Amino acid sequence: MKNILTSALLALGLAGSLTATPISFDFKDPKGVNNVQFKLDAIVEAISGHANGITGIVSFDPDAPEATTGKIIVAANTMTVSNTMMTQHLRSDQWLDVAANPEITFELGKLSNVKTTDVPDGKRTTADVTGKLTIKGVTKEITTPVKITYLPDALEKRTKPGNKGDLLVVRAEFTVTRKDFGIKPGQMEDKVSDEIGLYVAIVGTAPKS
Amino acid sequence: MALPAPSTTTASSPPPPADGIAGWRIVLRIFGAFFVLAIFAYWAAAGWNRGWTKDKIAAPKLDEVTGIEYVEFQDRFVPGIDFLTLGSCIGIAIAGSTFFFRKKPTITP
Repeated sequence: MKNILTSALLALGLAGSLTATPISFDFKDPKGVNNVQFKLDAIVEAISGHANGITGIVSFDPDAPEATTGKIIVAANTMTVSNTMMTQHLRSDQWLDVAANPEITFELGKLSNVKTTDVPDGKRTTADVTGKLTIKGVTKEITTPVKITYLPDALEKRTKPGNKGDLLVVRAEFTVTRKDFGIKPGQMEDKVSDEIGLYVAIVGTAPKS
Repeated sequence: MALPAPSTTTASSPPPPADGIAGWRIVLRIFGAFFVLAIFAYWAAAGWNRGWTKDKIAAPKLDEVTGIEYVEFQDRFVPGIDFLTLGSCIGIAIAGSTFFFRKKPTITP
């Protein structure tokens, strides 16, 4: 009898995992913590800043993270540094031309080298993500390591009690070059480096009704 | 009644400024020096920022549930090395201008 019960439970569990559907996470964070940091070496001091106008949808299945799909959008006119004049230069047609190219996007293609481990509040997946990055209207395929943390039932901890839902935290750190994306290619490299360091830390929410 | 004849002596003319420095030049030199000192003092008091001037400061914050570090910008003026350089140049220009535009002393024979 005990064996039959165990088998039935296992079968139910297997059936459940087979029918598991991806969860859709919205990355327009109501608390506004999502941000992309950027850093360029320059004379006098490195130019560093942040962009926080982040939106997008990522479809993530905790049981099949390699099937993750989605798109993250950064509003280019939210890129800000600590000096107003520099911020204006950064957004001008000389650099990012945010009027003509209002969005910086990353379209997720595939995940490889996927490894998932359990963490106290959920699951952490590390992988190499390949996707299409578009900056200033130029699209390039890039591959970068990514860390995805799935936090089931954690939404109410950062919103309000009774607000059921899951969180998906995505972190990535990578480097792009100005010349690859047509940002003053080959110009002023003695003053501002060609390489731009990018650090992404974003969270998506999936409320449960 | 005859008009008095023009003076042919220098007895009533002001003394030539050959050796003296006009008062306004001294004032400008002192002002220029104080200007440079004031700029330096302000820059130093604001934190010896050897980077560019900032008009907003990124205050780091932490979202405790997700562990995400983010920043909130606060409006605050922090003078940088460009502010110090520009201010010093203005002070030096003020003081330095007093060494130019001198009138040649006119000596009446």
